[in-house]
Amino acid sequence: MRYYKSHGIVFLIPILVIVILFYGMIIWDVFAAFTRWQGLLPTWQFSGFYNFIRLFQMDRFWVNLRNNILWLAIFIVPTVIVGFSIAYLITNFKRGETILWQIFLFPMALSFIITGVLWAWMYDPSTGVINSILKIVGVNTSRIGWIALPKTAIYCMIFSAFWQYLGFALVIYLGAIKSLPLEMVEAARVDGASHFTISFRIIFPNVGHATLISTTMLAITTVKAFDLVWIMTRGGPGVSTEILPYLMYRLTFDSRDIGMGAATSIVMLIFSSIIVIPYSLWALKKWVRI
Amino acid sequence: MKKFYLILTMVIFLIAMVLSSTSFTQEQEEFVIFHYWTAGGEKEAIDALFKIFQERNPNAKIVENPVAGGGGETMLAVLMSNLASGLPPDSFQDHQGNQQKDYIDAGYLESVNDIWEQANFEGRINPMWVKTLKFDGKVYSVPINAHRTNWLWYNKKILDEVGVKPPETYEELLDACKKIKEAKPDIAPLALGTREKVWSSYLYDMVLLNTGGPDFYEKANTGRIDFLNDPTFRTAMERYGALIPYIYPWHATKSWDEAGALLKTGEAAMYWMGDWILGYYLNIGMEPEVDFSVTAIPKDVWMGHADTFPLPKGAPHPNLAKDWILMCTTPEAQKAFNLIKGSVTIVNDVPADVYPDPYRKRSAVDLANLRAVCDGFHGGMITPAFGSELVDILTNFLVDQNVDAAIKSIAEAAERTNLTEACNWFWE
Repeated sequence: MRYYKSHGIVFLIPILVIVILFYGMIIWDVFAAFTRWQGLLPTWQFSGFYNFIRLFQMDRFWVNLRNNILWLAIFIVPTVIVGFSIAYLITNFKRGETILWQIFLFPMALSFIITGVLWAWMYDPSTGVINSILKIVGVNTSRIGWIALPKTAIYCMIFSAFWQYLGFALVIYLGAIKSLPLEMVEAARVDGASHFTISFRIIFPNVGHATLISTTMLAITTVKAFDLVWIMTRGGPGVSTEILPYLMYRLTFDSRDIGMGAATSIVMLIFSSIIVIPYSLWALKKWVRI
Repeated sequence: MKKFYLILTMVIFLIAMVLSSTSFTQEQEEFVIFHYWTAGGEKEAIDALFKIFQERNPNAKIVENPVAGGGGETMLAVLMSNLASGLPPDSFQDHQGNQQKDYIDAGYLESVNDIWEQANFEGRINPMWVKTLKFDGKVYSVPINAHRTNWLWYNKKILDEVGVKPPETYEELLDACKKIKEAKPDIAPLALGTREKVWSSYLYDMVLLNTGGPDFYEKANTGRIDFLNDPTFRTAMERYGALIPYIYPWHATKSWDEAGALLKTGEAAMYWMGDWILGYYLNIGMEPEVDFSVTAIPKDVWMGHADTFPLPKGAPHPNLAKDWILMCTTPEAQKAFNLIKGSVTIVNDVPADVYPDPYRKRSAVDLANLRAVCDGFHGGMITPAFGSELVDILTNFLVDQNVDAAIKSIAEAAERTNLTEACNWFWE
C-alpha cells in the first residue's frame, strides 16, 4: 500500500478534535471565571475581576496556596535526595539489585486512593497501627493525633505521598547512574574519595537531567494530589490540609459557585505554568535541536 | 469488491445503531427515576414503592438510574447534566428548602399544586413541611419520609454507671458530659465524626435551637439575624464551644457510622445523630433499650428533614410521573416505604403503632403534635453555598475553639453568599 500525506491527516483528526476541545474548554473556563455564575443555570454576565477579588479575600484561599507551596517544598526535596541516595546504594550492591528496586517501586503501582486509605488507617489515632505500636512501646499516645490534628495533618499526608513516589525518583536515578561512564567513578575511587564525595560531588552533578525530570514530574504530582486529600482528610481538620484543586471542587460542586470555581482553576493554571513552562523550554533547547 | 463489502457492513452497522436507539426511545410506558437508595434496607424500601406503583400501572416499565454511574454519590452530577441538557427523568430523589430551590430557580421543575389539592396533602402534614416546600405559593414535590435529627443516642450502660439521667436540655447535656468526664476520663462523653464535615452543622443546629428556641433558629438559619452582634447567637456559639472539650478528640478521622460505633465499643457515651443510625445500630447487633437508647433535645420540638420526589419540567412520561407523585401522598405508600427505610411517614394519618421500635413511635407522635423545624444543611434551611462554607468554619472551630473568629467567619460567609436574600422565600 502506498503512503499519502493525506492519509496521515485523516488519522490525526481524532486527536486534533480532542486537542481543540481541550483548549476550547480552557477558553470556556476563562470566560466562566469572569462571570457571576452561581447556581445551576449559566449566567454569562461579565463581572470583571469580581471572582478573583473575592477569592483573594478568603483566608481559606491563602491556606490552600500555602499548602500547595508546602507540598512543593517538603515533598520534592526529600523524595529526590532519598531517591538518589538509595539508587546510589543499590548500584553498589552486587546481588539482589532487581529485587530491591522492585520493592521500592511497588508503591508506585498503587493509586493515590489506595495509598490514602492505607495511610489513613495507619494514622488513625485510636485504632491505627502507628499509635498501637507506640502504645506497646509505652508511649502515651493520647495527644498524638497524626492526621486528626491540624498542625501535623499536612505533614503526615505529604509523608504518605513521599512513600509512594520514592520508587519513582529511585528508578529515574537508577537509570541515569547506570548510563554514566564507569571510569569517572573508578578514577575518583583511586584518588581515595569517600562514598559521600563520590555520590554527591561526582555522580549527582552528572545526573542533572534525571533530577530535572523527577523534580518536574513530582511538582506536577503535587498540583493534582486531590485524591489523597479527598480520601485521607477531605481537607480537614478545618481547612488545614486543603489544596487548590480541592478548593476548586468544593466551590464548584458544593457551593455551586461556578464563577469562583473557574477563577480558582485559572489560578491553578498559572501556578502550574510557572512550574512547567520553564522546564519545557529548557528541555526543548537541550534535547531538540531546532 | 472487498471495498464494497466493507462499506456495506459499515452502512448496516450504522443503520442498526440508529434503529436500536430510536426503538429504545419509542418504547411506551417507561418510568425513569433517579435515586441513590442503593444500600441494604434503602433498596428494599424503594422497591416496596415500585411494587405499589406497578400495581397501579401494570403496563409501566420502571427504569432506575439509567445512566451508568448514576447511583450513589455521582447521581447528583449525572442529574445536573441531564437537567441542563433538557433530558430530565420522570422523577428524582431530592431534599427540600434551599436544596430544592436551585432546581426551581433554574426552571427545571413544574408545580404539583393540583396533586396536593387532590390528596388534601396540606391538611395531613405538619405545617413546617408546607413552609419549606412552598415557593411563592407553588409546590413542586411530595415528601416521602421524615428523618428526625434532634436525637441524642446514648450508651445506656455508661449513663447508668455514672448515674446521669438522659439529658433533655442543653444544660443537662453539658452537665452529663462533665459527670461522665469526671467518672470515666478515658471515655469521650460525646461522639462525633467530621470526616464528612456536615455533621458539625448538626451540633450547630442543636445549640441554635436550644438557645433561642425554634423561631430564633429559623431566623438564624435563614440569615435574618445580625450574626456579628446578636447576643443570642453569641451565647449559642459559646455553648457550642463549651461542648468541644467533651467531644471525641479524633473526630476528624471518623465517618458518621464509625463515630456511631464508638458507642458500641464504649469509647464514647452519647452521640448527636439523625435516626438513620438506628438501622446501623441494629445491624451491628446492639440491643435497643439494653445497649442503647435515645432522648430528644429539646423534647418539645421535632427537628428533621424529608426526602422528596419533584416533578421535572418536560418529564418524558408526565402521566406516570404525576401518578408516582400522587401515589407518594397515600398512607399505604408512605407506610410501606418508611417501615423499611427506618424513618417515619410525613402524613399524620398513619398510626404511630405500626412502627416496631419505641423511637419511631415517639418520632411519629411528636411530628404530628409538636412544633417542627427543618434542619439546616440537609433540610435546606441554609443555602448549599452558605452550608458548604459553614461546615468548614465549624470544623475549624472544633479545632481552634475561637468563638470570636467563628462568629466573624460565619457573618462574612453569610454576606458573601447572600444568605438573607436567598432565603427570602421562606418568609413570604
